[in-house]
Amino acid sequence: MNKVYTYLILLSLCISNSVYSQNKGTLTGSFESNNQIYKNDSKIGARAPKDKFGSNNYLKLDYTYGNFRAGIQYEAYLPPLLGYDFNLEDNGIVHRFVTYEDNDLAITVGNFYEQFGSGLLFRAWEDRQLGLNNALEGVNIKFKPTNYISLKAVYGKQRKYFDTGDGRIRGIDGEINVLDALKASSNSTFLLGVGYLNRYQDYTGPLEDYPSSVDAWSARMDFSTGRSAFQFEYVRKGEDGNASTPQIVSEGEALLANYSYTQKGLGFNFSFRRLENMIFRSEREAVNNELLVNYLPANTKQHKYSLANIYPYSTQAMGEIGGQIDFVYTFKKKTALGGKYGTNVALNYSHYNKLEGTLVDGIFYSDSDFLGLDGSKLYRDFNVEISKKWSKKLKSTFAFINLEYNKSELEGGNKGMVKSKIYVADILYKLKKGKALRTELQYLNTDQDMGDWIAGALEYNIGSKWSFFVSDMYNSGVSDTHYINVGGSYVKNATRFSVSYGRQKEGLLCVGGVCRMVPAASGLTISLSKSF
Amino acid sequence: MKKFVLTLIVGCLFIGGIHSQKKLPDVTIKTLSGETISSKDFFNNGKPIIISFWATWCKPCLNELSSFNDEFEDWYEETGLKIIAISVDDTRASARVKSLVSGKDWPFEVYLDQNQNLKRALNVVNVPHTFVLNGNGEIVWEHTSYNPGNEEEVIEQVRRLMK
Repeated sequence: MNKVYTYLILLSLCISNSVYSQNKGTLTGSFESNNQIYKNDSKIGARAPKDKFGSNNYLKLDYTYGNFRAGIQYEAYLPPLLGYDFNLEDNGIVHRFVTYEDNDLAITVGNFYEQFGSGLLFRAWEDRQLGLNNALEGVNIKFKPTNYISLKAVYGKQRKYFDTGDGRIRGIDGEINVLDALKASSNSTFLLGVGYLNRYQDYTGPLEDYPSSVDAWSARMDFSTGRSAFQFEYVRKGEDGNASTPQIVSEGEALLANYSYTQKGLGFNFSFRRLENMIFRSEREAVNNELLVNYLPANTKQHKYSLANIYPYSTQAMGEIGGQIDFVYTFKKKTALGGKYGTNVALNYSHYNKLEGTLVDGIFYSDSDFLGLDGSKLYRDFNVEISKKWSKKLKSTFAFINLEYNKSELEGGNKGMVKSKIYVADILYKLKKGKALRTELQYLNTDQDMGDWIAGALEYNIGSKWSFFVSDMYNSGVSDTHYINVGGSYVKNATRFSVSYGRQKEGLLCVGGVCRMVPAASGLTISLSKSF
Repeated sequence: MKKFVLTLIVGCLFIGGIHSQKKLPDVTIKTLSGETISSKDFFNNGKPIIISFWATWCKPCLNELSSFNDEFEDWYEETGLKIIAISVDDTRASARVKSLVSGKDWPFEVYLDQNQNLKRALNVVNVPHTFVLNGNGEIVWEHTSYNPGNEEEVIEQVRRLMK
């Protein structure tokens, strides 16, 4: 059935494309190919696969004609790059859809991405770097009965590699813009939203009252007036099962609250989040990043610099509590601290604890007050970043990051709490005729785990097209190992080609706080991307 | 069978050729106060628009936007352009986008594309990715990645539209 469907879409794409000059349809798309040739490298523990080769490829095509849109995504993993799940080793059209859309109604049949509220209840999305794609295959309807109410409905099964998972998902979500509805003319915004989602997966095991059907709902609010804004979201999830236990997992709940204050040149944000028993997948047996129904990113700052990403926080969906404060300020031009061009300062602090309670056979039993902070510390990050433009040619960023990372709790093992301080200097110097040089120096200091790291990078750009880099990450603390990389890229409009050679450290790769383990690897990487 | 499908796709592309003039699709995105708007309503009174896709964790993106910020006053005086910065940060960082944008005092229109629907609809593979739109809202130029100094090429494309 799927195949027939694919061919129909392909055929319509093809026909409409070849007669396109007579009508107003448009065909757009993108192509991405990442390839790596591996070699053994015992110094960093990198073992090349037998084939010595990995290749991830994506071709996406969209065709739009009037109110209709249709598209496909072809993926080929020949075989998948190291660190991606071996279940991806295949190729084929895994994503196909047809959408009808007018001003107040949109209907999609096929594969689609969607999100309710902040995603705390439901998010179907794609991240190629993580090898994650949990798009639903089914039906998606969006309807706006008036200009202040929007409704969404989803029904389907989630993508699991080149197949779908067993569980069925159905959900509805509604949002109302209250002040618009009341026709109150003000500068404030007040939004209310509710969502409901059900997952059904047959259970044939021995336990009585085992929940094959799991309900979850959410309520949210968004209020901003003048310089202040509040956001609030609460999710409750019914009893469920998961891969790490044969028992019934108790009800889960999640609370997210945000306050922000902004004015010209100043931004402040405080956010708080508490999660308890919030692992939610469309198939109980799923593991890693498979078939995630809800989206629980780490509520901490995602760092830009490599050494600051050695110890990334990953969300503890079964029980965590904590928050984050973010403050950004610009000293104005022509003041003592601002200088000629202004100076920007960013402060960020985040702290996460475990919920107090016990984890028995994969089930969390909470024994703390709702807002109790007695659980052990998982992560703490204080960081400052100062950016300044000195002249037309010179710009600099200095950063200091003070991290505490509970490695035993977050990754297992017995390394305990890793306390590290990271110093970064990032300097950009523009040379003549569109040439520029960027240097980055980083130093990580810790007495635990792998000890000290030093990293440096030098980047040389010629115009908008050519860029070359050489970088090294050196572990001086324990292993005395260099991770040297050299490479270059060529960009022309929306096409980018890059080549690099070197070592890649084993560790957690996190995007948006969802992580995957990357093994040590050594070799040549060749990538091409193009959008059209 | 799979080979057949591939051949069909590639064949299609060759027969039809690829239409390069993209228009802005109708995709719902959010303002920083959480309200929804459609990308097809981007408007600058018949003057050019620069659209830049970025993220808080993307160093070259921040470099690009800060160079746009440095030049903005002159560019605006010269061409009347508008700059729209679309954050593809998911909900992890969308609250931080707001403090960052106000703190840096950027003179751009900033929107959130939390589930990357607009990014996908415009076939952006990686950020930063920059589009130049003419006064009719048609995409006339696009560029992926940012090298220091690129902003000169971007404004050159805008200037061409003024002739």
